[in-house]
Parts: sequence; structure tokens; C-alpha cells
Amino acid sequence: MLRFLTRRALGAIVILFLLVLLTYLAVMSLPVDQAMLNCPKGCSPQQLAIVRHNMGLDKSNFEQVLDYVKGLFVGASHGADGFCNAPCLGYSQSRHQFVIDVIMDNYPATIMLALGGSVCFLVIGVTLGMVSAWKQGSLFDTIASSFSQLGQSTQIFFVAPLAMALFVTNLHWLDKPGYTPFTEDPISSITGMILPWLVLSIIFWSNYTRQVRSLMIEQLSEDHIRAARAKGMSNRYVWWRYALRGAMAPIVTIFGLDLGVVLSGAVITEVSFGIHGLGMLAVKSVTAQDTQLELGVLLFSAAAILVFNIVVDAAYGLLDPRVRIG
Amino acid sequence: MTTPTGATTTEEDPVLVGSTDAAGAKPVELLGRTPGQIAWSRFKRNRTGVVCAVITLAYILAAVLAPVISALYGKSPYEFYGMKDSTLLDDFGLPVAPNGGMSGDFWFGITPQTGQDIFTNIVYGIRTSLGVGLIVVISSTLMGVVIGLAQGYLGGKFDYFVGRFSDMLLALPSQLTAIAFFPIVVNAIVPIDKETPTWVRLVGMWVILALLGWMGMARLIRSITISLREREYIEAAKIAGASPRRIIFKELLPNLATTILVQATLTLPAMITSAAGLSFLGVGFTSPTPDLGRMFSDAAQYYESDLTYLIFPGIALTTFVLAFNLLGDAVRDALDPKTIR
Amino acid sequence: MRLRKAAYVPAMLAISALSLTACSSGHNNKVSGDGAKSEVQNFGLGTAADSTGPAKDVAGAKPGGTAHGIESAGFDYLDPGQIYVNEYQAVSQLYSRTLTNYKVDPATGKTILVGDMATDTGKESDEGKTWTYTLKDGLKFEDGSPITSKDIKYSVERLYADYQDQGPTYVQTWLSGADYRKVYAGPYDGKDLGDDVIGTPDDKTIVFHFKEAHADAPYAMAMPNITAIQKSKDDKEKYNDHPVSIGPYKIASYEKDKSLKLVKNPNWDPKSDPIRHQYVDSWEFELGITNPLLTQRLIAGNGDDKNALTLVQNADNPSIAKIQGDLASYKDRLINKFQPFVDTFDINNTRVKDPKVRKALALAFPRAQVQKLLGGSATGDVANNLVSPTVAGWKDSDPLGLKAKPEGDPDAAKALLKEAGAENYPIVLAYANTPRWQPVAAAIQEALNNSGFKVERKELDPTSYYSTIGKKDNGFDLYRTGWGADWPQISTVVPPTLDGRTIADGSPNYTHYNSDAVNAEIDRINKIPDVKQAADEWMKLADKALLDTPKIPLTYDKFYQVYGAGLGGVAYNEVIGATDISSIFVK
Repeated sequence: MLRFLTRRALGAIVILFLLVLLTYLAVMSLPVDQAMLNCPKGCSPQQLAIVRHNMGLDKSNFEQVLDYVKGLFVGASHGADGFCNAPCLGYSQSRHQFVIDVIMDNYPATIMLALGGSVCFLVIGVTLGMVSAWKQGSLFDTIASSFSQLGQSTQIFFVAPLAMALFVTNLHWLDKPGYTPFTEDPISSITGMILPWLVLSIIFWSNYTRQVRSLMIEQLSEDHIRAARAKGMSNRYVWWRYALRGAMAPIVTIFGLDLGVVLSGAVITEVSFGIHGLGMLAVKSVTAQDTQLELGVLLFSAAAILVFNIVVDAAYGLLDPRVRIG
Repeated sequence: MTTPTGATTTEEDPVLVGSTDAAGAKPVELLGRTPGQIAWSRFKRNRTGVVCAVITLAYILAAVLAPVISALYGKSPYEFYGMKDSTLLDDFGLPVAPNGGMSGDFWFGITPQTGQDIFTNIVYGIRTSLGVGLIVVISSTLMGVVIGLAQGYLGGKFDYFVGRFSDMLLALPSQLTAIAFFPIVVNAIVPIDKETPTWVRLVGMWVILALLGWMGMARLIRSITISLREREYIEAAKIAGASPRRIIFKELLPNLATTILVQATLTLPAMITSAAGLSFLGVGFTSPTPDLGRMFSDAAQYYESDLTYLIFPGIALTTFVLAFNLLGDAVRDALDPKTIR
Repeated sequence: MRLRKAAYVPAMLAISALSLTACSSGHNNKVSGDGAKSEVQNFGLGTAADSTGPAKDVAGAKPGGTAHGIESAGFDYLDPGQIYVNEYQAVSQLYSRTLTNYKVDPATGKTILVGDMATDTGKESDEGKTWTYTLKDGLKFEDGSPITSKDIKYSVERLYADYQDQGPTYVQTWLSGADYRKVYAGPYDGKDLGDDVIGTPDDKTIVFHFKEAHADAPYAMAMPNITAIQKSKDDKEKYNDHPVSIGPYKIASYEKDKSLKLVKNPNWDPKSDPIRHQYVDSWEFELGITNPLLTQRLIAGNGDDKNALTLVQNADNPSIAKIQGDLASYKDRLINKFQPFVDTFDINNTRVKDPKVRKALALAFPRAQVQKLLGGSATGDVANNLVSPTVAGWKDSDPLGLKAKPEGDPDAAKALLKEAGAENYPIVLAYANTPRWQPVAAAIQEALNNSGFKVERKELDPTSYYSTIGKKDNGFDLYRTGWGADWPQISTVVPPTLDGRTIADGSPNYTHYNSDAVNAEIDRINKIPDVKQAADEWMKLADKALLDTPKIPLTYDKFYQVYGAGLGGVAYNEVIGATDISSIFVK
């Protein structure tokens, strides 16, 4: 297990490093003049030159990449904000802060969205899938599967404003969604996230419903289950003891991957509901042409996905004894 | 020839192709039912599939005939009608007529602020979405097939390194990467401080989505190729001295055709929505190009005062994606009935 | 200038909440009347008596309570040396003071320049080259140590250091020339700026020796970076996080992009201050709240928002509609005043060389329609010249004869184009690609095409809009810019935007207008020792330059916003274009 984890972690680090080089070089190719963006009112040539110098933009591209990579490993010094510890993800020109600080400010909202949302889609999806499998061919099964189809075909940027128009503007059941730290005000923290959670789960849960349904049906036709039934075990017992257990491993895999996806920033959900998380930050950094922030967010969320991929593989090994890792 | 994907082993129990040797000796019905014909007859019996096919066809027609439709209807998606006729919008740019300005002139209403016609914008928007979706699917499928085949057939170091590279791409948060890299691709064609023509944005979306979208297909093709590679008939072809080229094109590809077709059909709606998502986030198409994603980002601002603007594009996109998804399922069922849904 | 970046934040980031009617009913909101009329002030120099503290009590004011601010931006710069943006300047009034400053009467809105830390607005000698200021008694830093003339000098000295790259550069340039950083590298290596540049003969007196005469010096001394900085607390860039207070409030806590809290500064002496009060116990600013949420909160006024205001953010158009629709309930807490900004459409004079074509552009331009699209009379009046009514010497002049037809005069434009032999003249119109400017660009295109031009629209990335059009060879013919005077004298309008000798990448002379006659006039008027006389001359020059149609005047911008019903003493500083919070109390 340990060997597996080390190997995968090393692999992930190599991938991330390649990503840094690739992305930084690509971003460097943009002719955005950060100095001109930061030059104050009535910018004179002298002023422009000093702003350029202070931002370190008078260095060559090569030196800038080198500085960035160096920052990742040994940290870097940024006058106003002091020393940025390794791994230093750079300095955000639009926020005048270290990229890592900006990310950490925004990440709690993404975690809140991801955790609540994934609980929603897991619970809803698995429940619907199990009931559908139990009552195969029933009206419930048909409705659940059509609903899943619809959910899979619709878009958050359509459903989100629709849900807000209905529940916030017309029915006044909820306040305008938004993130409040749980520690600050637990109740409004949760009520502010209910709509985003549910809307986010719409596009995910249908997958679980389908998967759980077919996995359960498949499991029930397996030999060991037939044998168990033939031995006279109750349906209910077989269902919970064997079938569900057999269906667990694939579901956990999908769940882990999905969790990685939402934790790396559910961009459209965050933008639609105005939640200031990682995804929103990415969009803002692109529109503000803040290249280092852009890069930092990208790296951070890629790391989140990689970590979850490793966790998922490890969990798969633990849950399904047929799979051996190492 | 047998097709190991199972397309011929069906409940239809047809006579295998090649029975033409006894010309005229057998009844016509039993003659030469190709796998395609069998699939077609199976597809015809799937009512949902047929309905969805009709809807999809209607959308494709609308997209192709968009200029004709808008000419017949008498409105252009680019015109700012609210600016020409001051009675359409009130002082704060909201449609004067109820339901988002729906009227005999503007069937689906008009947009706030500018007073553009929503109906023609949706028709042209479908054209944009479908166009982007198609070129992306075609190119990412091509890439996926070529790379997957090469990986599976060549194996070894090549397989390993390409595999790790595709792992890296899969590790990327796709939406974030797309919004971060879109300006870079666009800039490679036109400097960012110069005006960007629409075709450049199209190319940008195409490149980004295709580059981030080929890995699934490649993995699938690779695994099937590896399993096929060991089959007797490939071995036989090799021993018979067939060139790799012949083996790939004559032996492997025909057996992969079904998988490729099904997979590609299922990717199209996903690509269309990804493209719309990009435009929604402000990268991708911008005004004045008619585009569904752009309409959503615009309409989302007015959801409280002018919900109509949101509803029509929403229904248009959801219906299309739903129809296409169901059509994809139907096609897969018809071609490959063994799959458990 | 880019004070109004917020206007460009892509609308998709702000999923709006228009609290208007539900979907199925139509909309027919009309702007009622013309809203609150802003009156014109004269912005003159106050006397020594005007400069003497304490400030006159505001009727009905009572001490205590917490005032709240809701801001769309984060306060990037708190170090007075780095402050230029009006939002930061407005908040710095709480914890910082300058040699001179503007005194706004909350009751009448009358605004004059008075001595703030200085006893008056300055005494000139040597034909305006030397300016002498005397500090008031009782000036202290936050820790109680007295402020001397050395601390004022130090505040200027540090502006020469490289890291000070955001503030205004008037005083440094006047003292040591445009390349002032080469003359002196700042005080951090132990060197002083010579006494022949800034003299401090005693603890109360400070003497500025400019290279040339500057009648505007009293106004330049009101720039936020001419203040007092405590040398022992100055740790260069890091000073930005903990500036030492010399005003009525001091910074209690500051979280970047999140919040700023200020509490009373016991070492501020009201007798020394003719402008500020210390009514409320504390100030709490919430940062990073964008429109439309910001305005909706101010309108609703729930909880703490009852005692809240915002410094510079205009209400969004739908909110303006809501306020206008129910003006009676909001008029007691509504601010609708002129800002120092004038919006213009700049013609690229290096590309459109024929003045007749430029004049035809101005004649054809649909100014009234554009004004309506941008928010109507609530947020701006149609302008006929280049000078804002918030500037001394402003006259309601109309050099191009545009007033009669604000919606544009296609026939006159066509005739003029014909005369110039330039029919179907091609124009490349650049605009920031946001929902705000898209319809504007379309309207302009339509109107100009109907007047004999052939307009091609080019959409630009909103973030880099100014740096794109700021390039000398930008390839566009027509683009919108806004400029606000730094102080209420046209000397901060005409020279920066119309002096042809300043043309460079990033220079605010976006038109590239270069007329020898105008350049010579700029030099002549700059030397006039009397600001009043100069003001009239400047206005004449602005109108004279406009006769060449370097740009098309569009609107005099206005601020339109409500504040919480629980606040009193709210005024508006038209000079810096921000809410004046120096006399605020909680009712």
C-alpha cells in the first residue's frame, strides 16, 4: 500500500511539474502588458517604467519562469507582502496578495459546495437507483429514469437562475444563495447553500441512479446471490448483505472521481449562484488577466483531482478484495 | 466475416452475408440482411428513438436553414430592434410588452437593453452550437481513434508515454483549463489586443475542446484493440503476410466502427454543452455572434424581471441535448443490444 | 483613467437580482422628471478663518454608534503615498490628513479648499515658485508624538522611492522634474532631499521650492500623498497594511479584500481640524460586495445596512429604476451629484486627420441616445464641452454647436463630409465588450452609418481596454474614455488630455491631438499666477481646442446612490467624486 501511494504521489508531482512548465510558457505568450494595467491615472512613460520594474516585468521571460519555478521549491520574496514560503504559487497582481492566500480565502466556499452537493447527489442518486432496481419496470422506475435522463440533459446555467426565480424571487422560501462561513453563522451558511447543492446534484445524481440500478440488477443475477437465495435466505438479507456490497466498489470509484471534480471548482455552479469559490476565482483571474493567479488556481485544482484519483484507487483496493494494488 | 462485437449474434437469427452464392435459390427475405439492416429494423421499433431522431433532424434542419428561416420570419439575429423602435423597451431597457416582449412580431420575445429578436438568435445559436459540436466531435474522435489504435497496436514504450500524457490531460480540471487556455489559443492566431474575428474564437473552442476531449475515445479504442490484437483472425492475417496498414484498415477498424459511432454520438451533446458553458463563462463567443451559451449569461442577469429570456433558450438547449442523448442510447441499443442499461 | 473598472466587471459574475415585477407583466418604467438636480459650486480657496478648527457642528448630530461602509472593491492601498483612486482617497479622510483639503458643507454642499494640517492654503513668494505652509498646533500621530514639518517633508521624500508607484506625481515633478527618481532615490538610504528643495526652517514651517511657478500649489497640497508620515513606523511596502493615523479614526483591523475597521483616535485634536468630526465610535467597511447586491442592500437597509453607505459605487440601472419609481420614499437618503468625470468619445487624430471629418463625426454622434443607454439623466447629463461642472471656470459653453441637436444631426454631418470630399468615410469604432457597451456601440454605428460614415465595430477585452486604446498605434478611430480633474482646476484636464507633447503609450492623451497653438497656450496659462484668472483662460483654451474636434463630449457623469436611513451628515465631495464621510453620525 505504502509503495503504491509513494509511486502514485511521485507520478502526480511529475505531472504537476510538467503542467507548470507547459502552462507558464503558454501564459507567457500572451501579450498582456501587466505594467500598463497597473499604471495609475495619467500614466507617464517614467511611471510606466517604474511600475514595470517593480513588477519584475523588465526581466527576460526566461528569468521570470526561473523565478516562478524557484518560488515553487524554495519560496520567493515579494517586497510588500514579505516572504512567500515554498511552494510559492506566485503573486496575484489584481489582488495584491500571494496567490496561495487568495486561493485559501476562496477555497472554503468550494469545499462547502462540494461536500454538501456530493452528499446530496450520492444520497438522492443511490436511493433512486436502489428503489428502481427493487421495483424494476414499475411506474417509479420509469419516472426515476426519465428524471435522470432530463437531469443529465439540462444545464446548471439554465436551472440555477430558474430555481432562484422560483424559490427566492417568487416563493420567498430562501434567501439569495451565497456562501457564509459555517463558523460565522451555521444556519445562514446552510440555507445559503441549499439551492446550489441541489442544483449541482442534478447533473450528477442521474449517473448514480443509472449505475446503481444496473449494478444491482447485475448483482442479483450473479451465481453467488442466486445460490444464497436458493439456500433460503430472505430477499432483504441477500439484497443488503451481498448485492449492495458488490455494487459498492464501482459506486465509490465514481463518487471519488466526482468529488475530485467538484472540489477542483464547480465553475458554472459557482458563477451561476455567485459563490466566491475556486471556480469563480478562476474566471475572475482570466478576466482580470492575472496570469499568476490563473496559473495558481489551475495547479491547485489539478492537484486536488490528482489526490482524489489516488485516494479512489486506494479505496478501490480496500473495498474490492479482487483488486490488488502494490 | 464474423464481428466479435456481437452485432450479428442477435435474436433475429439472420442468414450470414455471403449466401449470395446460391443466387436466386433462396427467398428474398432471407437474403443478405447486413448488420446495418438488422440494426435499422431494430431501431425502427424503438419509439423513443424514432421520436428523438425526428427532433434531432428538425434541429439540424433549423441549423442548416437558419438564414432561410430568418428571412421568411423577417427578422435578423444581429439587429437591435429596441434601438430602432423606442416603444419596444422602457426607459430601463426592459421589454414593454408582457412575457418578455412576446408578440406576433417577436414570437419568443426580445432581449432586454438591445431588443434583439430571441427566436432568430436561438435558431442561429443552434447553428453555432451544432457547428462547434460537430467539428469538435469529428476531430476529437479522429484523434482518439488514431492514438488509441496506435497505442493498442504498437504497444510498448509508445503506449506507455502516450498513456501517461493522456493521464496528465485527464488530471486537468477541464473547465478551468479551457477558460485559462482559450485566450492563449486565440492569441496564437490573433494578438489579444487586436480585434478577434468570430472564426478565431471558433477555432479556439475547437482546439481547446478537441485537445481536452480525445482521451476517452483513445482509451476505449486502445483496450478493444489490445483484445482484438490477440484474436486468431488477426494472427492469421499477420501470418498471411498482411501489411500493418492492411491489418489496421481492413481488419481492426471495421470491428471498431460500431464502438466509434456510438461513442461519438454520445459525445456530441456533451461537447455542445461544454461549448455553451465556455460562452456562458465569458470565454468563447461574444456579442454579436448568436450563441446559446452567451444568451444564458445575458439572460441570467434578468431572471427576476424577464424570465422569458431565460426560458426559451433553456428549453431549446435541454430539448436538443435530451433528444440527442436518447437518440444515442437508441443507436447503441440497435447496434449492440447486449449492453445492459 | 480607470477609476471605474467596476463598470467592466463582466456582468455574468453578478447574477443580478432585479427586484422589479415578475415575468408575465410588461415593463413600462419611465424616468420621472429629471431627478435631483446637482448644483454648481465655485470651489475657491478658503481663508485662514475657514481653515481654523473645530468644524462647525452638524445640526441634529449626536455621538456614538457604528457607521458601515459597503464597498465593491478591496482597499488595495491604504498607504497615503500610494493613494490616487477616489475610493481610497475618500476613506483616507478618516485616518489621514493633508496640508490642504476640501471642506464640504453637508447642508448646502458648498465646497471650498482650506488648510487642513496647514493654517491656510499657502503663501506664495518668488513669483509663485516658492510656497510656504505653517502647521497648526496640536497635530499628533496616533501614538501621541507631535507632528513636525520634518514629517511632512518625509512624506514627500518617500515618494521618490521606487516602490511608490501608484500615487499622483505632481509635487515630486514640480520639485525635481519629470525624472525625479533619478535626482533622488528616497530617504531609505539615509539621504535627505536638500533644503533648497523642501525647507524646514522650524518645526512648524515647511517651504516648497518649485522649479517653475505653480499657482495651483494649494490644490496639489490636497493630494492624498502630501501628508505626514512617521519615519519610525515606515517600513516601505509593508506600511500599506498599517498606516499610522493622524485623523479622527485609526485602523483597528484590516483584512485585504474583506474588511476594514476603524476606531476613534484619541490623539486627534478636533480644534486643529476644520473639516472632520468624530461623531461615530467606529467605522466598519465590508469589502468586495459588488452590484447589484451592494445597491440592493443599501435600498433594503436591513440590520447594520441601515447605517451603511458606499463611497463611489453608482446604483445599477435596474436599482435606479426602482428608486426613481418610488422617489418619495428615497429622496431623503439619495445622493445625486456631479462627479469630476467627463465621458468623451475620443477620435484618433493620427488616423482621422481632417478636422472637417472629425467635426462631422461630432455632428452625427447620437449623444442623447448613448446617454439614455448608459442610465439616463440620473447618471449623467449630456455634455457640450470637455470640462466638468465640478471644476472652477466651467461655463455652459457649446463650441461645436451640438446643444441644439443632442440626438445628432445627420444632414449637417453628411453636408460636411461632402464638403471634405470624404463620403462613406470608414470609421473603426472600438468598445469594451460588455453588456453595457455593446448596445452603445450598435447605436453609434447605426447613427454614424445614417450620416455618411461606414462604421466597423471592434470589440475589445474589457480588462485591457485602456491599455489597448492607450497604445500609440492602436488602429482604431473612435473609442470612449473618461477623465476626471485631479483638483477643480482645468489645469488637470487640458494639459494631461490635450497636450500633444505627452503622446506616448499609456498617456491619457488618447486622441493624439497635437496642436502647436494649444501647446503654447498651455505653457502660457500655466504661468498665470492668479488661479481665478487662469480658470477663465483655461476654459477658453478648452473650448478653443474643442473647435478642432479632437474628441466628442458625451456626458458629465453623476453619482446616483442611496445610503442607509440611519445615517446623518452625509455629504458628497464633487471634487474627488466620492461620498464625504467626514461629518457622519448615526441618528
